[in-house]
Amino acid sequence: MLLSLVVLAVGAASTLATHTSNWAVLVSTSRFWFNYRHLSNTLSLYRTVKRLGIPDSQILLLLPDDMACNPRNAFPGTVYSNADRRMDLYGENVEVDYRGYEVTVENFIRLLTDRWDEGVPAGKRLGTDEGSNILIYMTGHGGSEFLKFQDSEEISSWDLADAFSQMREKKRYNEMLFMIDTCQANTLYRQFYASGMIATGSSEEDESSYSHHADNDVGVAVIDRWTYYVLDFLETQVTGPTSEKTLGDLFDSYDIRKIHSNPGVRWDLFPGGEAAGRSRRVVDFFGNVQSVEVQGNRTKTELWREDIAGLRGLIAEYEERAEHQERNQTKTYTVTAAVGAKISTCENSQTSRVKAMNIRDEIDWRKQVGGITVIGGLAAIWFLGPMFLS
Amino acid sequence: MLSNGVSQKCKNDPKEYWAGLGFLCVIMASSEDVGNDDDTEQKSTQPEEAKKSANKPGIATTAKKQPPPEKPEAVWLRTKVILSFWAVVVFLGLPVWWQTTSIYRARLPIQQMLEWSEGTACQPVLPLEIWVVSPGLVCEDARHVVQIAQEVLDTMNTFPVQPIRIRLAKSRPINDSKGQPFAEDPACFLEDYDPQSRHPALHLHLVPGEDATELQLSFDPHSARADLIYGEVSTRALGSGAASTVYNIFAEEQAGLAYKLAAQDNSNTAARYLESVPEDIRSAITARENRALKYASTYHLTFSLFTPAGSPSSWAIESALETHIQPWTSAFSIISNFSINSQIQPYSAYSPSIHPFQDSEANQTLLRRQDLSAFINAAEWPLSPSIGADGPTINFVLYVPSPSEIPLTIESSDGGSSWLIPQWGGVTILNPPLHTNELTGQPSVPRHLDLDTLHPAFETFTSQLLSLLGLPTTPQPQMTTTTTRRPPSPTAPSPAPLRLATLTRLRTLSLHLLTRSTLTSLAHLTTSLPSIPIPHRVASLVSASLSDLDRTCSSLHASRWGEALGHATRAWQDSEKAFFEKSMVGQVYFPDEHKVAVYLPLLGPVGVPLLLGLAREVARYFARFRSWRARGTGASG
Amino acid sequence: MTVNMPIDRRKALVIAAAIVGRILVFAFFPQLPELLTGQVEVSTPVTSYKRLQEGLFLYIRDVSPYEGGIFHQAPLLLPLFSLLPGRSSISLTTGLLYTLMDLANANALAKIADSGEAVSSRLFTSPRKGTRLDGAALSIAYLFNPFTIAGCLGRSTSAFTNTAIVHAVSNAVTGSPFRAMFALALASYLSMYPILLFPPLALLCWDQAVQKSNQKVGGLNMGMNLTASLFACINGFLWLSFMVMGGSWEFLSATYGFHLSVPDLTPNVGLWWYFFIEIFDSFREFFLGTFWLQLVAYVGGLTLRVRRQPLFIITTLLGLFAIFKPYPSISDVSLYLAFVPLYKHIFPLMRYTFIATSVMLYASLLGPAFYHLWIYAGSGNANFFYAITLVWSLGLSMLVGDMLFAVLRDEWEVERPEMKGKEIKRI
Repeated sequence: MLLSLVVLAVGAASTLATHTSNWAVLVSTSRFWFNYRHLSNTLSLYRTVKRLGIPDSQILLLLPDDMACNPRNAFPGTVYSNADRRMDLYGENVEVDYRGYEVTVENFIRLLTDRWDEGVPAGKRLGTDEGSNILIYMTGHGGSEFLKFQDSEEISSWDLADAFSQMREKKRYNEMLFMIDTCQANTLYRQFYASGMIATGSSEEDESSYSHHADNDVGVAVIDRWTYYVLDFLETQVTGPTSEKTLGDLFDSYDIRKIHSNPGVRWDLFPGGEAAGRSRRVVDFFGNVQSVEVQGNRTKTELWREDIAGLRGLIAEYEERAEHQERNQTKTYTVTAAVGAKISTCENSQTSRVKAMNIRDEIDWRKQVGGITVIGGLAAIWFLGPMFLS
Repeated sequence: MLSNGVSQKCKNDPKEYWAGLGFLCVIMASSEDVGNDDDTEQKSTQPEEAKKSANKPGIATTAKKQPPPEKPEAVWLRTKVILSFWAVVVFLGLPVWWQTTSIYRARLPIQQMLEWSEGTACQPVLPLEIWVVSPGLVCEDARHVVQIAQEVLDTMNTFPVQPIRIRLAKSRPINDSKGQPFAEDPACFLEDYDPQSRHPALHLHLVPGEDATELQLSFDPHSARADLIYGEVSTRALGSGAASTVYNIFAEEQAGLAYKLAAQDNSNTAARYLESVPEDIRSAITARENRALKYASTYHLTFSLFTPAGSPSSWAIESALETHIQPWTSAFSIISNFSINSQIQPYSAYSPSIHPFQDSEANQTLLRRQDLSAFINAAEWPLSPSIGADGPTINFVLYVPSPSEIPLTIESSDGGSSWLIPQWGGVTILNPPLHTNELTGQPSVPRHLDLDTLHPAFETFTSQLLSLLGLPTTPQPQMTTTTTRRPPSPTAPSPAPLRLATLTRLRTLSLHLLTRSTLTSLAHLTTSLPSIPIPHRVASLVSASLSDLDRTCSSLHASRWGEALGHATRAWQDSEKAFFEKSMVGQVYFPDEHKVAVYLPLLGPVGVPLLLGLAREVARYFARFRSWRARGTGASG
Repeated sequence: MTVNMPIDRRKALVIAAAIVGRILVFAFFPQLPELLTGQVEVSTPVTSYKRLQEGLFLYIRDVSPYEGGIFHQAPLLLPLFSLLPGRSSISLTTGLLYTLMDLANANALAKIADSGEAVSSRLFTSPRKGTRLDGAALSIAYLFNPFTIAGCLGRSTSAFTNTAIVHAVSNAVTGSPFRAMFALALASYLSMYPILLFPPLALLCWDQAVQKSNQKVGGLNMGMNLTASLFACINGFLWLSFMVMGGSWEFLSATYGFHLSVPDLTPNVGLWWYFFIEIFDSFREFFLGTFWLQLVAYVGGLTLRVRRQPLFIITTLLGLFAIFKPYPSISDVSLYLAFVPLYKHIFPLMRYTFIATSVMLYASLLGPAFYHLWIYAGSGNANFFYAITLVWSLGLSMLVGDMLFAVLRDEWEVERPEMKGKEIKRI
């Protein structure tokens, strides 16, 4: 019956790609006003991946500070990545998933490995599977094989490597592009060992990563060089979700004279090595797989009705069986509902008893009698105790 | 003695400690000073040495008077004070240090966990049981038909994971639509069977037809039953016809199982089998698997009505759900549970990045195809209301456009207005009939969407729901067979009960394989990261998961599908909980210089006075011991 | 309760003024107590009056007061407070209760002072004993101490612990060991850390018993008796709490577990919160242990070293607790400062009085200001306030260390009378 729904896959591209979804994790790790550029780096990337089609529910944006509302911001409520201030990155529709002091090393590792408390909402999780391509972009202040988080802690290359290998082990990604813009960035991916990764960074060991330009009215540098030229490529060359530009094109566009540091790329973890990696399209990581299935308007309703009629018979049978089972069960739940509160029963077989909350503001006289008894008893021991004991 | 205590205090300028993170120990040091003594004092305990030291220039010249010899009680007191501090360090401090800095690693049954992936443990086999009821045949013929059918089936069925067994069974009077009792020969059952033990996958009724020239197949929509109507045929033809009928019914399921095995378990036999499956079925299965959500024991269905204006502000959601969705959710309750909620969000337009265009010829508004994936306004539409609830949310979005955009459809889709977003949900644009507003004279959208208006949308939602749940929807395959007569091939997919049973088996196998892979991953993780803590909870979850894996396997062998799904679900949940145990996080890598940084504040200001105090005491005891021996030898000499 | 000794009328008037002043503030300027209740210097997670009210609210409504993780105080406070009329946040009755406790503390302190234990214990008599303060003066010093007043107005429940400790000491000094142990048990039950005062308090009781009775008192026997009565009382309190809580031991982990594991890192005047915010998580437990052991370690050393003056051990320990407790507040300092004037006779031997006093004044003025800058104005950060708490602790530890030095010097001068009044030089 569902055959009758005209199922059309959109575009030929989706059949070529081996992945089924795209996710992006964009992390800025710095606080404070003078690190404005790290926030604008991240937000620029956010705008780009959104433009290329990754929905907000699959972008995890981690921003440790809110530059837009910083008292020093001469343009309150806005963040710009260019001195021309044409594009407000902080405009509408920015969904920040982790902000302020939530951006910690621990949370980041939890995010990658998905080891959370129960009840962490799906929007804050990386819900990837074996068919997901992940783009990870990090920016902040770093050193040899570490990246600072919020001035108080740091993540090391080993930590990242272990987290990624756990993701690989649990089949949480198909392919991953790791990008990092920080001083000595290329050291950050040195310890990686999980396969299926392409890593690229802005600068070699013992080399700084420089900011591109400052906005004199904002008063601080607004973007980093490497990120600026990566974005430049993405904006001018990768014009839409169907762009055929490859990662090779992107990495070839690195110009050391412009970037002022030596960007690096690591291919050896990728199956097929550099050749296979270079041929991956940019939108395989920066865009979303276009897998929407359009359905036509014609349905054969008779078949539906027949099927549903069949189901009703089945359901009647189930219900009969369930009723039978229920009669065998002797478990009863004695739960007195608290005021408007829904009380969940315990997982184990023990019935949980929750006493109803007394909503009167008057105290139960028994409690007062108890209180008087307690105080009277204590006073009695205080006064009489020494007599008996001496 | 005190003078020396004081002098030391002067040397130990407290500010030095503060500079060195030593707030811990300002007082420790100061009380230590009180108990401690200077080394010059020790010399003064020995009169001779005191004299010697007095003779030395530089020390004695500054002191006008020699301090009197220290009393033995004072020395003993000092020793006691030092010992009391050391007692705390040794008897309390060391156990605390040991207890709190060692990483707890519960022992995991690594070997057992790896056995599952190495294939030395139980391998899942899902034998199917087909009960054939043949009221129109004499006993001999019936036996013969079944025997032939089994033989033919055995040659057709090359998939080892799902052997199919055909048995001659007693007809069940229930669900007999025609109400005719079949003639029974009680002696004519090949084998005894216990109806409780194995769940038959299909009841195949061989029904004689009056004027049938071909074999005809008809399904009972209410149960797992098929009628094969035959005319004048030989028992051999009937047997092989029955065999290929059965094979065709389950061929798609076998391909699905093979797909799972090949994808999740890298099974070579499954991959080889899958290659023999026709291309269209394979791609249909791949599409189905990519579309379906991951298995969960509870799904939340959210039906949302979004509209950019203030109307419609109500819809006949309850009756629509009751008519279209609830029969399915009840039927699915053997596999998963569902919670359903709905919301109406007026004044909620689609994403601002979407720009539909007018098609002036057909007088309609069209959505670009590439815009569809960005249609959902994730930033502003409240679409994940299940915060804190476990289990994924399946979203169904009904969008009623503003009157100026009606009818809104998708370009080049022949009027299509709905689409499915894999693993997420479905979107349907509803273009309700407009009516003229009495006040303004403008065309407007009705305030209330009644059931008739909602019918097409909910039919689409139903089909989307079934796709998202992974219910097999592909038609029965047309297979070439060896029989002379063409076997009947159904024109429509088999009825819901059969497909649900298939889905149960697919889910069970999938969960079973997932659990195996998770446990293997956990075992690898445990061995490759020696510094990751493994709490006791993980060990117990792993052992629970392992035993449920075993039980799943034996339930599958015994064809008890419901039970197998239950075990597989528990095994999977436990293994996931074990792998994603919250406390197994932490910076695994902790460089040595960090450890120095952590221990330095302790070893510096706290450790140094303690160690020095102990060293002095020990030195003094040695000195006393030596002088005692010297005196002893002197006396004997 | 009245001060039961002949004092001159002017001093009695001053004491009365302190009491009336408090009541007037409670009655006519309720904003001030309300403000102080919210101050982190006064209210800690384990003593906050606001948290007590939350617990009380739940208790009265038959819900476990520990539900929700706000309330971490001893259960027996609940029946007491539930008896007080007017459970709203500003209640004159509550104010009266706290004022009465202050008065009782002042009375007990007067008893301690008048016993002369501070200047001459059984084993040691200070050569400077002539310059001691009398009880009334000590009461006045206590009642007019701004920290005492702030603690009283802020209604932090550490007032109960303080009262229990003061009474434990006063009863030990006046020779009623059972009451001393009962009061110590109450203090330990309420806040746990006072149990560390047991060794010096037991010594004090023993000294008194030896002094009073003519026949010989068995040390071991007495120690056993004291220990037994202490633990009997504590068990009694715990059992009573168990009954009050409707048969649940949940309060143990919610109160003592909370003290031990320090999960709430709300800023306070102590040293723990910042350290445990910053420390690597994997070392958190280790340093919890270290910090607690550090607190425990002083007891043995001090008890051995200043054995001859048990009251001074208690004083010094109170000072150390006020610095090194996980959740200290200024009301702990007020307790220490209540005992300090007992040693007026050794003040001349102290060398850093001026510095310590000015550092503490500086910290107590800048502390609230920096906290405001950090939390409300947003123009400072946590380091501002933490720096001030460091300075505060430095001032306090200078005071504690300096007093210890002075007392030791006082003891030393008995051995070496010829050194009296002379500067001590480094050898």
